[in-house]
Amino acid sequence: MSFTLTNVSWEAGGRTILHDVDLKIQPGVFTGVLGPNGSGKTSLLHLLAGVHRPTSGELRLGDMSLASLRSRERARRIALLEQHATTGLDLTVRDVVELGRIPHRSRWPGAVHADAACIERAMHRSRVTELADRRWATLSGGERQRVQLARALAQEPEVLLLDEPTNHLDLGHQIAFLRTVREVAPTTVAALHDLDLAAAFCDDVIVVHRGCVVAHGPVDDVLDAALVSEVYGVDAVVETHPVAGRRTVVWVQGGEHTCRRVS
Amino acid sequence: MTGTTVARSARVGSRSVPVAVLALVLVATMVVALAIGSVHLPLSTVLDVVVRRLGLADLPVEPVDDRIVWQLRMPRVLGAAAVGAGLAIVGVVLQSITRNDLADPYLLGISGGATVGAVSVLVLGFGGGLAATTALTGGAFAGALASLAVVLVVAAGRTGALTPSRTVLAGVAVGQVCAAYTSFVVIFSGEHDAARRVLSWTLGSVAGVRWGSAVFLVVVAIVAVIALWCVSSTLDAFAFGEVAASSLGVGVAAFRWIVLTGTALVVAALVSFSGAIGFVGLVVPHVARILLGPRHTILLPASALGGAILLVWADTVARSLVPGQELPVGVVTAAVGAPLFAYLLWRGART
Repeated sequence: MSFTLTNVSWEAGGRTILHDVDLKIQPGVFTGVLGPNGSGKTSLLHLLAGVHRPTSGELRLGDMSLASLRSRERARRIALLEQHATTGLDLTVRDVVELGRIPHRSRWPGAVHADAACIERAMHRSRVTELADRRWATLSGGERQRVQLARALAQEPEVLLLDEPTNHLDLGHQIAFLRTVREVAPTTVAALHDLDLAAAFCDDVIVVHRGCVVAHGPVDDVLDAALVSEVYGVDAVVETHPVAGRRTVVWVQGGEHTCRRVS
Repeated sequence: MTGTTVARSARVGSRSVPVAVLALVLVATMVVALAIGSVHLPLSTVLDVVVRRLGLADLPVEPVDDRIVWQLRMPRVLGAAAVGAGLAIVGVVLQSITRNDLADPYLLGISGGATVGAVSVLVLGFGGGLAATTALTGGAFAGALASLAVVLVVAAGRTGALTPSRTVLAGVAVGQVCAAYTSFVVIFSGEHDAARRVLSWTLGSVAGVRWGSAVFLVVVAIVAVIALWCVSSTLDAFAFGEVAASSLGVGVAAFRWIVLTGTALVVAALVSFSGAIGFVGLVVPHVARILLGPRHTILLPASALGGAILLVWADTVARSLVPGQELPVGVVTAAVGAPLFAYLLWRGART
């Protein structure tokens, strides 16, 4: 499923968070959303998820306007993993994964047995089957992300949206999680902070800066020292690593407003 | 740990068993409650009266027993069950959609508003042309609706969105105004008895429930339980908050409006007959969640039955503990419910 955004803006609390975004996100592609804190990455994902409606402009999923879809229909096509899922409830892993079946259920809460196979499959694909009876509160950060992934997969979506899914994960879990996503997910749009991870896992990247999309294209074309300097205010060496064989970003100095370019 | 694990696996194994058990306990509770009172009747007499009245068999029954069981106690027991069920189920729903453990059925200022209405009738004599109970019920209902309207307007503001935190605060603000009015009227009425009558109304009682109002209360409670049970999965979707609920296909803003106003109307209807009985709507949902888990398909019917059982017992104690005098039922629900709740919290913290 592709997303097409035409002149999309979003305002909240009297402030324009996203300005005139024009984008076409290709189906079947892993797209990273890059940009500094507060640039509008989460807002963009929430618009794509239909959690917020654009203030102006048009957002199409495939050939339909997202606003014209009923919310349950929308939730059968698009699943969202939030940055920090918390609950005060004493839920088991299976309970959490079952939440993903809500958009598929009839209004009458009786017949839910047909869902069982789908729930098992989702847990298997995101490798949480052995955690099924564990309590949410007892899970580690990496386990929680995998459980939320299983919940999202149980929605059987055409598009998976991930908001900084690798925050709070150690290096090994970051790689394992994104590898699992690549294996199982159809079209994926993921906000990421770690540029090396983005270079390793994304096909395309969208770069958001101060509410505007400043670059969009294949990661190897977009990610370079000039971009890192402009968007993050950090001087960095961006090169193809001789052993890993992919782009790596090594920062040299930065964090102040004025930066010296290193070439 | 073992206790909870066992409870948990029972829940996964056969989920509707606890609900069936609670339903049986409720029936047994009601039968026993019909037998207990200023006159104690044998259970067999109670059963004979009920069986005859339901037209199941034409058993010989003393007219005085029939009057005690069917005319005096039955409406009261049914009213208590309906109010308890309604308050408990509304408590569950409000706690779920506001994600606030302290949410109770009076979240939207309903108890304050109902008390204002009741005080206006009890002390100031509004609605003097009507029968006393009709005026009191009508006054309380009108007060509850008025305060609900103010809370909704204040909470929604210009945005039209009922965010949980603003709704809670608007409820608190309106509740304070209502409390100020109530205190002012009571203090300045010059009636010695006013404070006692207002306090006893506030603490709640189902003593005044007759057949007509009992049927109304039962219908309100059953409609509420069925309507809310039908949206169980939507309520489940709020487990991880509003954005998560929205991404699971819930129209959060519309759902919150409908549920908040719908449940408020239910509570207003119940409270106008019973007074603002406390504790049931706050504690029963928590106890049910601790014992049966947070899934609404089970939690809602279990809480409704639990609330009904608790309030029937509380009312039975209220009318028979002190001979010749009625205790406010709210005193009993707090005295019975709080220690039980504290025990469950303590047990939960230990594991």
